[in-house]
Amino acid sequence: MAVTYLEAIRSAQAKALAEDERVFIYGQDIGVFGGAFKATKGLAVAHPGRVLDSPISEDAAIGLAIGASIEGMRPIIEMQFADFSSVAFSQIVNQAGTQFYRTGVRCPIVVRLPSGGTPGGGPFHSQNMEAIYAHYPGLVVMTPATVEDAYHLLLEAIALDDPVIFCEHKHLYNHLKAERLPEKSDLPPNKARIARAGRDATVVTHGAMLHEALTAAGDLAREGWQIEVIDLRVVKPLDSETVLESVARTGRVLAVGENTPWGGVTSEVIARIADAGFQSLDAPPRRLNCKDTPVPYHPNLWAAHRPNAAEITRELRDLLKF
Amino acid sequence: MLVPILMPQLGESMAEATVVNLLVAPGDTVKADQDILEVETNKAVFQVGSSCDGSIAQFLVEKGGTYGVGALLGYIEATEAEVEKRGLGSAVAAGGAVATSATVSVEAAQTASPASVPLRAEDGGAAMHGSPDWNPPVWASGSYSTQPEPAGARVDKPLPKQAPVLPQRGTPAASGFLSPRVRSRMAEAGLKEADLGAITGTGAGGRITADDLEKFLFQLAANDVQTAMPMRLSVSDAMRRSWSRPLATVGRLVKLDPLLAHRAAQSEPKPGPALYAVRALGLALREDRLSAAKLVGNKLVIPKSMDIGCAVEVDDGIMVPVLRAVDTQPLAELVGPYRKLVEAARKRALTPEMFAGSIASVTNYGPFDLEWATPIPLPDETLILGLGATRKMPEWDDEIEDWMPFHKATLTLTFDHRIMDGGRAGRLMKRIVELMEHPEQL
Repeated sequence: MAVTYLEAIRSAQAKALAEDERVFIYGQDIGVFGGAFKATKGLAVAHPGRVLDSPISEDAAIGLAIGASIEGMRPIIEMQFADFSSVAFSQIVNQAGTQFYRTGVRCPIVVRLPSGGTPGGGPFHSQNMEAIYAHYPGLVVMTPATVEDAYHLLLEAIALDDPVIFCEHKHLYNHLKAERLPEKSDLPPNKARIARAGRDATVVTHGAMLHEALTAAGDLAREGWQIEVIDLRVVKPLDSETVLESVARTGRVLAVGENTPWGGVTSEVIARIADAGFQSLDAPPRRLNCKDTPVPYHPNLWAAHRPNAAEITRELRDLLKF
Repeated sequence: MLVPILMPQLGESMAEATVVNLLVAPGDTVKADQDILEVETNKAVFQVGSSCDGSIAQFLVEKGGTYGVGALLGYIEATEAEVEKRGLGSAVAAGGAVATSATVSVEAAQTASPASVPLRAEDGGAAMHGSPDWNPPVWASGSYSTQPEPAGARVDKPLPKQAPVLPQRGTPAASGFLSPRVRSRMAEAGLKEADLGAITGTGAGGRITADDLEKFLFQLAANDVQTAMPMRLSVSDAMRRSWSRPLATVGRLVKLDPLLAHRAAQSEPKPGPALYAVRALGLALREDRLSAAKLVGNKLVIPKSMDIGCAVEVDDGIMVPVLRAVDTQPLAELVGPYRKLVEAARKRALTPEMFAGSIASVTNYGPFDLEWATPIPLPDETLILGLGATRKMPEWDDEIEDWMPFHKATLTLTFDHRIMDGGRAGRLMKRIVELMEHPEQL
């Protein structure tokens, strides 16, 4: 009985609701309707009064959650789309992000961001916000790329005493399946995963791009190249150690991110390698992001806008040729 | 109390020295200033003395190992009173700190995850692409764990042709580019850029990739490889730096009969032919100092003192002690200092004042029965005068209309063509020959 990425997120929330009475879920249409993507389907009936519809105000929803967390609750807030979390930007980065620093009172909230592009999503329903939130101190930013991580990282996020931005990828919701949910995660949340071992070049990526990178690595393996693929899992704090160790093995690195290039996760990864891993580099570190434009609506344009396996393969060929 | 034995700074250019002998063993009683270690730098052999009375507690060095200035070589066990008396309190404390940090780093190295170690030639044939067997590494500066072999070893084959996507970054100019990884690996393996000449680069624009370097190191291991002595490395480095300039050589014969007659008339110790050449070169350069100038940037640096180096063959190398201001001292007065320098050089006992700062050198390759050569001046010299083997040869005499026998040798002058051209070199040689053929002027 296969379980999808979306079901993993629902299961994690169900488990948290069942095991910790401080947990409640708050968001637009998440109650009886079960959420825009059905991530909370059935939870309102199973846990009466704890899966609550919010008004159409992201700002108010986060504000409420912060207040509840001060009072000892552990709220999960579902943003209908990651894009609209910008409406609650001040609450997230100014209030939640700095609360413990300012007051010594913990702020254990989880903000779930249905992120990333799907065909036809367009500019308002496709964005990836992890780089924005990672920029601000005080926030933990998770970007699960597998069904197992969707489940275990969400449980870790709920258990964490700090505000967590949980970037779940919409494109993976129903596409990605696992046989079952493992009892325990094989990695602590602060470690990146070597998703594929190799020695000719390293791809550092996260979220849905992991699967494009693995496809590219598989394609190149048929030609004899061994590409190591690293899934960051959590972009903040960033596991530099695993990345640097990998680059020390391979000497070549390509950072791939679905979000726009300017000041993103890929640039942070490359900055760290250029600084601490300079002597490991046998070729200039490279990165691949989506085009620096709004996300296009038309499915063909959308497909051309985001990095894909073919493009990663081409970049890697170029890197291997250097 | 443990008093550290540290590698002393012996001469200002010294950065490290090789331990050639341990003169005492752990447990031996030593007196202050007693020699306990013999070390060799690229210039000379020195003794390291004990800083106090006591006994050798421990040596942390091996014979043949090379250690930097200030390196901890071992410990002397001394009484507290002795340490107090010699004012070694701070050394004891510092030595303790050194020992602690050394211990820590060793532990850190041992516990380091093998996963963090890059793939390298030392990992053996299995890890190198397509290379079957592996000899013990010879240039390894440490021990490296073997990488677990990922499944499916890479097959080296050209990549299939592909549609143009991004511009090819490589250009012919890139062939000189060495990546940070290649550079750091070179430093680790003790390689210089000059050593890479034998490698065919497979990277963009023919540049040498880290992989190319590892394969090169791997192939070297199929030969007998031994560590070169500091003297060899020192000569090699000097020659490589010298060769960065356009050097030209001119030569002409010098008649030695007057010189030989002059020499026979001298009392012991007599000057050798090379010393005549040294003195002649010094006088000739005094008259034309510009010939010995150095070109630094856009400036000509013209020497004031005619300090001439004298090449002396020693075991596995060559040393060039320097006779100072040879233009100011007649030949007879140069004999004593010259003999002293040659002796010191052969004993490897030259002090820094004895070998630095020459403006030109003289090398006498006649004793090897060589008639001519194109020797290379030291990097900070502009020219070198060579003296070949003496031959008895005929010369036509117009007056008596017959061949006459003379002792002749070829003098060669190798010079930096940036500073001097053939005409000037010819005139300088003419003057040197004049002086050597009129030894009474020397």
